[in-house]
Amino acid sequence: MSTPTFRSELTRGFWRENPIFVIVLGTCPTLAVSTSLQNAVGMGLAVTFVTACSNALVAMLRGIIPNKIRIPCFIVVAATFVTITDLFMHAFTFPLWQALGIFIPLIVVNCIILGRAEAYAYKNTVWHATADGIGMGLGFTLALCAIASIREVLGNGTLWNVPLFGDGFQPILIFILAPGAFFVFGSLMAISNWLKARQGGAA
Amino acid sequence: MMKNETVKFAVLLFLFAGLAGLALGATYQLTRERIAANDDGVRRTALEAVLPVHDNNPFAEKFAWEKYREALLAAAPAEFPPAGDAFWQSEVFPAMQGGTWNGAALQVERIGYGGPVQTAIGVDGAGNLVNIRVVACAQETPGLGTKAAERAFLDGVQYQDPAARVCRSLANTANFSVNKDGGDIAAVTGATISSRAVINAVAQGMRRLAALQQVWLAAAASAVATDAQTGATRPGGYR
Repeated sequence: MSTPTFRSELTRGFWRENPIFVIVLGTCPTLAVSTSLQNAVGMGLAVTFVTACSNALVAMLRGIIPNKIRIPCFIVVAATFVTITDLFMHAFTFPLWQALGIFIPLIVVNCIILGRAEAYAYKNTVWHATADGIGMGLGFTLALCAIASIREVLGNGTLWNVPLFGDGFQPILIFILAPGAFFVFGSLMAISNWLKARQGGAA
Repeated sequence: MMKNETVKFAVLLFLFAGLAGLALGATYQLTRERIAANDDGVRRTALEAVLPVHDNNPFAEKFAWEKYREALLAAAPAEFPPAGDAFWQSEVFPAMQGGTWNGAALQVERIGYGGPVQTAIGVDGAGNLVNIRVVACAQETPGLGTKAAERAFLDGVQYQDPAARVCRSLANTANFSVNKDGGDIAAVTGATISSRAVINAVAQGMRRLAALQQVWLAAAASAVATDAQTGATRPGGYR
């Protein structure tokens, strides 16, 4: 493998190691929040912000944190960071908070943050860890948007809250409900694996 | 050796958590006032939007239910919780027109699917539900339960006849509950619990306001009678 650069660490999460379709981390918020494209973008950007910051902080503190108690330390870092973000957004970017507010506390339980702190940030430099955090966050956002677009169009007949069909359209409600989330998630993962297998076969 | 390590870790974790706590405390102090102001603004905007026609200042003349507790409990004991309940501290924003009662706005709350659903309602002097707005339903399922905050559903709650804009009142709606409970109001498909939280809270709020109106008018009438006996005059009408 070539030497990691800021760019290679950044783009890794988009497709090759996409946190949702390949690493399969953070599926709980993925299934819960992917009901509309607007929600997906909001949640995705909030997660990107927190993963980048928590990765940077963990990489910075990796000399101080003893190996045996690293997990509780990571959780404290992530939870503190999420709460501070939540409070600041509530106070200073109120309209944005109103739109995203429900997702902010959910970020703490997103495994991507803990997973990246453990698997990457604890073993790498601050610079690369930040790139990894942003990349993983954006990869999460892309995957979430893909699922959410399909669910919103089929389950609600809209995209970004804009109605796409006439009044005669009967939305397929199940796509908005939890079973539809699993269905779309599974189908997209299958497509992603198939594309990867083809790529691998060609090379 | 083992023991030393445990103590070291405990102290380290303690310090770590303490630092995190300090950071959180500082942030909380820093943001507390702005957060409260922001939240108040939302509540006020919603209440302003739902208030019936008025020529007074409902926000200056707001009062807690506690003010009429005894009379209300005597008049409609089934509609109200016992004394001491937190409900009695919640506020009513009265709409006055020409010095007399023309309804009120208030915020009502019920537990929905994931948490509390707060709704602001305005009811005029004739008991019509003149406006309704969901203030907060943050814990409802996004894209499903949150549809109970949208106009398409709320129009069905507010209007007995949406086309003719006939508002609902306790008089023209025989069963003020969600259709799954045998009521007259259509729930959001797939979000009966969130819909029920809104509708039941609204229905209860309207029944309570009806009782309050009776009590208020009786109190105003007796104040007039007392004034007539003592010859006193009150600035600002019956208030």
